[in-house]
Amino acid sequence: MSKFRSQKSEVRSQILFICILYSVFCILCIGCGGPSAPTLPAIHAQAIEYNQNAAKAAEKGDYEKALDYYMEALRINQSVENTGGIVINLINLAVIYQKQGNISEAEKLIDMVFLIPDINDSMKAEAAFEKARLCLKRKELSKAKEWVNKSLALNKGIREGSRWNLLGRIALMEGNYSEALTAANTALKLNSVNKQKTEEANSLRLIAEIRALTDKFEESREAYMKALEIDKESGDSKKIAVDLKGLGDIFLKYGRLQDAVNFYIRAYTVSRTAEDIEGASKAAESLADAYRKSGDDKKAEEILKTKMPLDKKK
Amino acid sequence: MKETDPRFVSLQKKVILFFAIAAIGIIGTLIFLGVERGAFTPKYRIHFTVEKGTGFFEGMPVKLSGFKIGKIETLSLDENARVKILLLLDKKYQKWIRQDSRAMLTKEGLIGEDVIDVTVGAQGKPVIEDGAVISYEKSRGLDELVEEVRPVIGEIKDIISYINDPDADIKQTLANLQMLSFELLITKENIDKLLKNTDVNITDVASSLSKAVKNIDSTVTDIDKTILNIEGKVSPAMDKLNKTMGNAEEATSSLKDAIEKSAPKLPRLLNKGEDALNDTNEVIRSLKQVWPISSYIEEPKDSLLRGDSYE
Repeated sequence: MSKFRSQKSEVRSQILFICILYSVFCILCIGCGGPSAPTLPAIHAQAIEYNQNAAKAAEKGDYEKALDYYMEALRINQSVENTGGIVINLINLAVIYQKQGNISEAEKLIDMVFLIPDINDSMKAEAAFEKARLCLKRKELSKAKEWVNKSLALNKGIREGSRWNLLGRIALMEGNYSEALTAANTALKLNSVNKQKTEEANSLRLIAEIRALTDKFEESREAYMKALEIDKESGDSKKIAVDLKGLGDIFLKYGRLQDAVNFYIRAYTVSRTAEDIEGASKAAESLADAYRKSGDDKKAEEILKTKMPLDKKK
Repeated sequence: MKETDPRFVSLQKKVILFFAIAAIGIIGTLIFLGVERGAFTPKYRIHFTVEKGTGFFEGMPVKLSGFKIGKIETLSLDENARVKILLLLDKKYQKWIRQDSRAMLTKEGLIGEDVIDVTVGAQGKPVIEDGAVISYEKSRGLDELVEEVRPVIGEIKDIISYINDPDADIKQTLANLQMLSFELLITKENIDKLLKNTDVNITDVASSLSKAVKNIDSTVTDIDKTILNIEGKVSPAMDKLNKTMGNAEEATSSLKDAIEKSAPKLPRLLNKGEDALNDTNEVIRSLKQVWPISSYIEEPKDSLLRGDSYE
């Protein structure tokens, strides 16, 4: 009996051992049979690496570094005639130059994109959108509208909302508030559906601005607050400061000076801590204006004194 | 009940074997030790009798021609109150211990241990049998030695006293030598005086010449002083400058050496560093291809910066 039990236990342990071996074998087979890792030629991988490093630098606000990396990525892509890579890096360079205020350089690069044959519509649409932004910077509103419409005609996609936002801004600058509001609302819907948070906040801010200009205080405040919420989620200091300043502006317009001062102070603090000199200067100017309107000229003077070094830095 | 567990089958045999091996080991060790200590060597006994047992003790080694051949087994008093010393000796050495052999109490060297030394007997004499007596020869102690040396010491004492006697020949000879050296000293002084007089005459002539030379000397000295003054002022500055230049030269040469030594290595080092970096990149790239890491890595692609509609 005891001998039989011993034999049974031995068999059981052998089965267990075989099962473990089989499991290991299966795992190895699954591993071998898994999807093969994407492989790229070394030179393409190198260009992509430069592109990604540039994106990181741009995110940190180091535009000079970003330009260097994008240039290198462009050079590599040109050396192997990788059209896709060339277009992307040309557009990226244009965006960075635009951030730096170098409109002419940005425009040259965008124009180069349109000279490249056989590029897809998505890229063409993106380049057209950039061209529209550049035109807007130059206050060439009709040209800007033309390029936005080109962009929309070429490709809609998830970035459609941003195009409508730009159309709304152009209409606002033209003084066509109803058209601007229609475009902004269209943009808001599209951006919300496509989960384009930054553009959604842009739509709300645009609506708030239009509402403020059309004396819709509560709608304007509401839209600003929503935009502020989204921008805080995104952690975009520049936009947060813009929202706060916008809120200050509408409160100032409707005579709620203390509230306006509070919003301006908040906007100033955000800009200063984010080292956004331009934003801080604008907030300080608005704050001084609010103090002046409240009759506190001394305070207004003090604020303007703090603003002066900021203007020099600009 | 029969044991079924394969581990315990024939356990008894294994235990017995284990103990047997251990016992064999112990016995073997004991035998080895016994052989080493001569426990199995055949022995025989002889004895001698001495007036006093001073200096003897049980176990005292017995040696023949410097080799240990046995030991004192027992010390006992006989009927006449004399000390009977029984020696236990190895049988194999019996052939050399014969009727004319003698046992002596000696020291091995000046400060060595006390041993019983047995002398080798003449070939023609019969061997001393087991239980027989060996004659004992009293060894000379320190007292005997002192007695032997005493006359020699007396003679040395006499010699010293003779040397010290002022009327003795040696002392007289030494006095004469002293007198001779004193007279030699006076003679030397006289010769010195004579030489001095000769010197004075020569000095007079020389002084006239030296005056003329002195005048020239003083002029030259003045010039020298002027030069020295200038030198005194310039030379510290020059020294400092020289030191500085020297230091600078040393530093430059050291730097040059260092650069010369390291320069050829630099490109190689840089190349090696680059190679190492490339290797690391390759390893990382390969790792990225390995499942399951590969499934978590997205296909690398260019990222497009999206222009903001509000900017």
